[in-house]
Amino acid sequence: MLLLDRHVGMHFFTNDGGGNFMMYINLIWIWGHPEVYILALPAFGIFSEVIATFAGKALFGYRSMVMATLAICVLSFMVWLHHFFTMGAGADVNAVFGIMSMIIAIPTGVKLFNWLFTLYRGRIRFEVPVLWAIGFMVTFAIGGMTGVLQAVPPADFVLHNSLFLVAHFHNVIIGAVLFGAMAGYYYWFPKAFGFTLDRRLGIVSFWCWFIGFYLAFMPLYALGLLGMTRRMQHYADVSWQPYLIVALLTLVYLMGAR
Amino acid sequence: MMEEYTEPHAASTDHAPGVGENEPSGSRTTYTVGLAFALLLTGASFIVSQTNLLWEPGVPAGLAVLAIAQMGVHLVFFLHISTGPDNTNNVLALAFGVLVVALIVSGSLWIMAHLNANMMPASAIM
Repeated sequence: MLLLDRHVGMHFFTNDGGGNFMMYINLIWIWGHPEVYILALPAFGIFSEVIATFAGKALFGYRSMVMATLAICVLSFMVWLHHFFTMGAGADVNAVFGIMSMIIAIPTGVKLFNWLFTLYRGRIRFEVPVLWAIGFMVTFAIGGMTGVLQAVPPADFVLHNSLFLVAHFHNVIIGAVLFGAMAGYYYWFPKAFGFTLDRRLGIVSFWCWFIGFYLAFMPLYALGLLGMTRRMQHYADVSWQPYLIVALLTLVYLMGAR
Repeated sequence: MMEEYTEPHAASTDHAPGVGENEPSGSRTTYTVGLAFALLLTGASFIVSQTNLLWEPGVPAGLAVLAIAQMGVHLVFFLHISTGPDNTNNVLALAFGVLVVALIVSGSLWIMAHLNANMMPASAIM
């Protein structure tokens, strides 16, 4: 469509001829929101495998797990406007997309409880993959809650483009996708290469990431609430300084501890 | 830790999309018939748009009908969508695709109509 705009004189994203540049944002997020679920759902699958294995039980509620995945697949196509509540659509548009964004937390919550019930009364062996999985459940629950908070359009008007949003995004993506990739890596490495990765180093690496994540992004939540926006190259409010220094030191911590 | 891999649903008839569906499902005749239908519909839409065969305000509607028929021909003869029981996955995937396209088109129209109604005309911002 951009190509047609540039070279064939069409007006999808320009203001002449009934076009609108906001259409670009609209279409980007129609693609972009299902995309984050494409990132997260395979990680959810890894956690289901890992948790069932190391709890020594069959996965709790397999059917509801599958139904939740399907529900997320469909709902993920109905929430994209929550990326631009502030663009100027009216109250009813914002309300519908806000409510849809809250509804998508329900199947995700179903999954979380299924994992919890799988662990419940299981004989849990605390191997490295299951550490990543439990770390994910804690971290992702926090990220999910800040997400539901931002799904409320009036709250989003306050938090839009703030570091609160940045912290939320990294909270769910690091918590789900990165932790999921690491869980799967430690879990299937022996199957792929015939030997198990060092347990001690694995545990060290997990705790560095788990603590490091909170050190890096909890200050950003606080900064977002204090009013700091994203992508600043300069800030005038010195009270923000300590939080940013903590977040910066985390980088040193994460790299040094590796 | 690693047990020997056993097929979890060996006894069940359930199988993943695409598994065991590799036998060619079309013959030369069906493809030829499909091509004939497709050419017929393409030709018809040119005739409808270039001549006075249809009542003039009805031409867009006529073209839309021919386009939908064309989609049907492609789905049945080239993509082998049928109502058979082995085809449920394909039909469901198609239905999901239709749902997503409907959501994208209707949602975008709704959102953009709201933006047009609520926001300053874009020409006034510039």
